[in-house]
Amino acid sequence: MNIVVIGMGEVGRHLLSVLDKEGHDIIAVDSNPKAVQYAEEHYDVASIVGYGASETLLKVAGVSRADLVVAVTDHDEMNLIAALASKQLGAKHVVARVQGTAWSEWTEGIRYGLLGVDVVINPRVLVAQELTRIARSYGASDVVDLAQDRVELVQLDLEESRALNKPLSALELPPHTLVSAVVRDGELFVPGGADVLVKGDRVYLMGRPEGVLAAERLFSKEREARRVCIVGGGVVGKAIARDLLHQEATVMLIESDLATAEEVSAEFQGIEVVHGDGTDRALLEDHEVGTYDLFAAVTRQDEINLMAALLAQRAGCKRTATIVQRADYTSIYRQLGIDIVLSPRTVASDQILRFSRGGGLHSLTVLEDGQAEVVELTASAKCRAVNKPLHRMNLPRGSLLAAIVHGDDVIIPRGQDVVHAGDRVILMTTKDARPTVERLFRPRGE
Amino acid sequence: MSRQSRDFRGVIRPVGAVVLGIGVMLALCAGTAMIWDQLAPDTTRPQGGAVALVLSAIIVCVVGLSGFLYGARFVSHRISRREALLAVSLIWVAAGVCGALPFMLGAGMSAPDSFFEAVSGLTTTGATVIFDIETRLSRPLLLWRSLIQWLGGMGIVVLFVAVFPNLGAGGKHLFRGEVPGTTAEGLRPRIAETSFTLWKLYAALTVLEIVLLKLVGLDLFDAVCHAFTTMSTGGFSTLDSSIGGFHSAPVEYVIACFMLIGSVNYGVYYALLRTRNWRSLFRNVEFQWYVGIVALAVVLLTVLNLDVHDELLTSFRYSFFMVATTISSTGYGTDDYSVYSSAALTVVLLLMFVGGCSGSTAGGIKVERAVLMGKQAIAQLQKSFRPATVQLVRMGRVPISSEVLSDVASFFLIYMGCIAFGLLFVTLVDGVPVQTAFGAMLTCLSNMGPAPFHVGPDNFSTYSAGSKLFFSIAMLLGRLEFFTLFALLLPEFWRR
Repeated sequence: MNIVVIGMGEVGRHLLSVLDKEGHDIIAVDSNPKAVQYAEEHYDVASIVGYGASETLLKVAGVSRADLVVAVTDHDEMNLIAALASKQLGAKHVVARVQGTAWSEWTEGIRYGLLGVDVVINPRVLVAQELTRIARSYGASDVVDLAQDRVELVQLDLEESRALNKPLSALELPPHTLVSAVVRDGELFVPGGADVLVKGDRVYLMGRPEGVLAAERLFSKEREARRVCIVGGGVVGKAIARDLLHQEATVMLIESDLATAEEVSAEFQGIEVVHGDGTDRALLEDHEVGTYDLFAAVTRQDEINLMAALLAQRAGCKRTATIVQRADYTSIYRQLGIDIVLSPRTVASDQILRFSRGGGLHSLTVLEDGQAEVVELTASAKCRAVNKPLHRMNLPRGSLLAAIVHGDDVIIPRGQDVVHAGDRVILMTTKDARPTVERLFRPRGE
Repeated sequence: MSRQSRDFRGVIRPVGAVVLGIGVMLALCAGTAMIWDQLAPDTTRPQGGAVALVLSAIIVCVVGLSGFLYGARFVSHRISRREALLAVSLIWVAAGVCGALPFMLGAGMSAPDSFFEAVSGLTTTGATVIFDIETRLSRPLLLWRSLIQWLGGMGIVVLFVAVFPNLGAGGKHLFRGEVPGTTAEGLRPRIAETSFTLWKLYAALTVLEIVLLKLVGLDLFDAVCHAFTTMSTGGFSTLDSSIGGFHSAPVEYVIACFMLIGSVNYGVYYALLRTRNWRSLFRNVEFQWYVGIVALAVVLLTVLNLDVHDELLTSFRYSFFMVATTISSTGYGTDDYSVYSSAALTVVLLLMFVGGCSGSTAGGIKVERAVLMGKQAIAQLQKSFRPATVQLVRMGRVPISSEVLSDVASFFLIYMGCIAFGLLFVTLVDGVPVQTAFGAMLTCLSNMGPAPFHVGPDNFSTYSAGSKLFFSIAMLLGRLEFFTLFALLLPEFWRR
């Protein structure tokens, strides 16, 4: 696939590292020669230094022949113009990222077809939505909605509970749910009925939302977060506050900039806005953050987020969440005891990478640094996997057909269930199993 | 391994792989030559030699395979820049040793002689220590001699990168180790595809030349051997008297044209194929200069050589060939330049310095560098009376960064430094006249072949073993354009 990536920031570089491994023809563009040099040095890509929205440059980069053009510079307007121009020059798919405050009016994380750009994503809003879903869950550390909210994928870090230390087959999971993957000592595997869950495991539950919620109850003592403290009144903070207010939660928001704080206060009635430094221990204690169910540090600065979350944890807050720009640091945050670590970069790259696969994925969720992924696609009549029962489908080890959406019905399939042409299927595959699974679900002759 | 030094064992596997590849080539060459001798024997040449090739193939394959398997333990996740430089250097030295085996086993040549011959082949220099080619080398050995030149022409590492596409950015570092400077790189976004495209173009042109040479009356064996050594701008011939021995103007013109084709940036051909527009050829600034230099040199030499060749057309025929063979650093001979006037010889020497275009198989400083140096010099001169004016050095419309310019300048400095050091070494060891040592050094560094100002016959057989090894290194330096090999000499390279 011919791919042009404009903007060598955090997201751009991450995309290169993944796309390079997958063997695409990539052209990297950035106006900063140093950033381009970095890309050249580390990935097998060609590169161009220049202004990403310039038509001449886009022509040189060959966007007219490109299957995918991704605009992820730090300037929202440049991204939109670059994507728009690429589309008009003939690029097959174009994706632009926006993130600035000028777009905070947006409550949607994704818009399709805006100004002729195929997909415009706002990773900050997407992250906020994810955080809200987590707040609503019973102790999950990540929640992803699939198949238009009809299927939920939930990440759960296991504490001591009744459900542990017995084989999965003896575990009475609620109907329409399953344990799709287990991460133990950093290694992800797809469990069988004989596998036993132990304390410290991380599991990925999948199923219908109501079933998944019940399953969470089985593993976790936590309940839905009723009292939430947010640090940072930016795009993410406001989006979370908005969503949580709809759910009638108690929200406190700490913001260090007075003007922003007043703005937030004016926009949302019914939340407590505190003007102050989120990393000020005395301030956190004065406002009794220890009594909150969830503490979410969502400023733009990683250091502030980390410090604030650690302080809240010391103060006795049950669950802490941060967003982190540098997604490489996720595991370190986890080691420090932060329960929920979300990265706009990961969210953005998941949204973009699905276009690099061909075959029209509806969604792609990368798990555990690329050890596995969950994909959502419509089964074509021409692929090998349709019209035969699951047990005869020959899915490889390390893969799982997690759900079939047949019309309005969501089926968590067993051996006898069949995928029909036109069904939406949700598949989980480890890295090794992916090629085989792709062959099964790729239309013949493609 | 001391604590201070780096772990470089990651290079064992790629080097082993390339050695194994050379072993396979040896075997293929032996097989082809044997079949050839069966189907169309040639009694005028010495017989045998195929056994030496088979034996060498076995030795090389065993060594390569063991390196490849042993190296599996130390595979690095991604080949780093340092590893790439070391790997490329080792690959070239190893290839020289492997290439030398058949000469030792099959032609009774000494180890330094064989190494010199193999390195001269691989680096497409074409200088030889064999003064009796026609009576010493059998056809299998001649085929091998031409084949290594062909392999070295587009580059063994480039071939390696093309065959193993999973090297990622490591492949890019390897590629740059062998093909430094601004080049055809970036033909395609992925380096493996770039390498593959280059080899495809190279092979296609070679086949075209074989067909043409056959059409103008050459024996198929000679056509293949000479096509191999023309496209690689190498210059090994199957005759003692080189191309002149065919006494055929059509052969000379075909070969001269392909030498010129071979010394143009392959990126130009790729662009031509893709756009199918002849104008894209002339949009390349380096190509414009190259054509200009060739045209000017041909006119000058034709006029100057009227003393030697009385007729205008004869003078053109020999001068055209001389310009082509020199600027492409091939080194075939049809004409004796020792009887040239000083002015004509100076033209030849200058062409030797310049060499072909970047991203081609030719040697020398390269047209692009020469042009940049000239423009930079003019810009500096202008600065002396207009200090405030912004002076950008441009290649066509593209401004050239000062980083590139200083790279070019240091290349030239290293080049001249090498010649100076070489002069000292060779005059000290062999006691030859200064201009002889200069000619030999220049021909090795620019991968040309024949040495101007030579004493006695125009080959290297009379030099001492030490000088032959020294010249071998000089040829490697010239082929890899200095930086790759010299980097290994710096202590910082080996430190952690």
